[in-house]
Amino acid sequence: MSWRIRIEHRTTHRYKREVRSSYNEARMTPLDTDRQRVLEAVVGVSPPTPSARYTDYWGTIVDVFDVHVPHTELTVSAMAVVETSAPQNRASDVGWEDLASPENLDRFAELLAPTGRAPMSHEMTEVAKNLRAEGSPLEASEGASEWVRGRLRYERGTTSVLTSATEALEIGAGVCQDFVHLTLALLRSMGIPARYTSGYLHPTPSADVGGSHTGQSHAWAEAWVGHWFPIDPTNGSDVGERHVVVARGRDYTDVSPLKGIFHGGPAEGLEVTVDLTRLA
Amino acid sequence: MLSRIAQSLYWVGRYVERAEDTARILDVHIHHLLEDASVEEDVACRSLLGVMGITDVPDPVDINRVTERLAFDPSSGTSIRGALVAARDNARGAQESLSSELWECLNSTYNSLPSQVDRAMRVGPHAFFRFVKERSAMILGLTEATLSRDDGWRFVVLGRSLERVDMTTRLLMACFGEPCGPSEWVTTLRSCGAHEAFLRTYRRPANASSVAEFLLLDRLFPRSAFHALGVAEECLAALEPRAGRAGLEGKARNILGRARTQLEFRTVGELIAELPRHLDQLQAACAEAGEAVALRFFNHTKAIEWSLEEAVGHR
Repeated sequence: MSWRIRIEHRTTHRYKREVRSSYNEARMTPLDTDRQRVLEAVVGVSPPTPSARYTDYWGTIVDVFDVHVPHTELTVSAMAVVETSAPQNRASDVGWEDLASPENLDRFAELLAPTGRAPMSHEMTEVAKNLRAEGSPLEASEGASEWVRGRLRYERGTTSVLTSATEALEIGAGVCQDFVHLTLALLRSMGIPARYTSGYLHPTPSADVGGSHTGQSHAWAEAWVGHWFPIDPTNGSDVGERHVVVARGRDYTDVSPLKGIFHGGPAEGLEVTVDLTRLA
Repeated sequence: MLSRIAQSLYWVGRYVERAEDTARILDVHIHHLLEDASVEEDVACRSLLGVMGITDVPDPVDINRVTERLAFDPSSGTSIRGALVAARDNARGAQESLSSELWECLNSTYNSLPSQVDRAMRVGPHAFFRFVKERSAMILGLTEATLSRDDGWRFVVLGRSLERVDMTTRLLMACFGEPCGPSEWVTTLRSCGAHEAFLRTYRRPANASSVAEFLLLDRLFPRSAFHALGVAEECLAALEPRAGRAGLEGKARNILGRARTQLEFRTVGELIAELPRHLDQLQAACAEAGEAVALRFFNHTKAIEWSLEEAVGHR
């Protein structure tokens, strides 16, 4: 069964004093993939400004715009209508020796290396060794997700947007971003290529058609086990109709929804709303 | 054009003109002082320094100290040497807008300053003043001969013209400040390189009113205040060509135009009767116009500081 979801993602930056110029990149346009289809996608900026679009190295659609009229408020509204599909067949016959083949090591080198947010550590290497012993790469991936859920408590405000996987592990709590970073660190320690996937999650599995729900930007991981197998370590559910993919990368830094620099200000506040409506 | 480049070119024009005018004034006055035994050295020197806006002079003032201060001081923007150093420094940052011949001329002038100063110490300052006048003439010639008549050239000419009005006014202020005989009027005219032109025009000895008329009002002599104001105005008009039906947009142009008409439509008699006031006004107009030009054309934005937009995490 498939869903059709409308996403309205609105980000507002407020400044104490006028900002004279600002340069920004928005990663807010959902991707066309084998399990989702984008019917409509618009990114609007206020104050109105022309924007350019390119696809970055990781395949994410990026809207680039700069604002040169003095402003005290910058709003980026991304609207998209996406058709999503049910969880895919997870079957995989790829073994550990396939992942260690020179071709695959070369092909996925970037997605096997530790990053600043998902670093390697002694503890992680030990856990990875145990998980590897449990079974196939697919099973180990699911095991990693479960291990992370066992170690981290979902709690907002405990970590910041800059927290790394090791820091979150020390705190023992975090939000989806931290769950994903920790999962990525584990997967990569096992030698499984893994990527950070960001997008939206419709919060209500039993949502009515037409009802609007307040959602969040969400993130999950994808592990390569012969195909890209999505894992949502935050809630342990399958990645299916309720997930909409927007961007992929090595960690949060590659996919942050709105990146920018500005001259003037300083910044006063930030407001983000995500409204998700199931249309069909 | 970048405001930084415009500013540099404007100051190249100003400093070179300042060096030349200072050299002319000093050359004439020093010789006058040497030739005329009746002149009180201290008084004459103080008035000379006063012309250049230098009032904080320790006693006693003699001609050597004046030359030191107005010709050889490398650190002061009012001395010839300082002005030439500053002109070359400004040109160095704007080389791509100057011709290489002009830059080389400014640079070689700068490079030969130390040896020229040494020489002046041995053989007297006249050789140095002649060197400065020759190099200034060369710089002026290269400006006219090798630069396109674009905005860059206009900024050089604008700077030069404003400085010229300023220097001529200062000179007249000094002369009319104290009682002068015919020989002082000749000195004044010669300081502007105007003696011969004056004689050809008037065909009679110089006196207060004819000198004031010639140096303030003459339409043809390029160092008269009236002529230099007109040139500066033309440059400003060309730099801001959007002329509407009424009024002017450039503030500097208003100031200069008003100063010029104050001179143009007055008789010599009226001018002489209140000369100090008119000269003060002219001097103030020069300063104001300089500021207005700086505000309009050289208004640099401050170094821009960038801040990072706050990031939104995934939840």
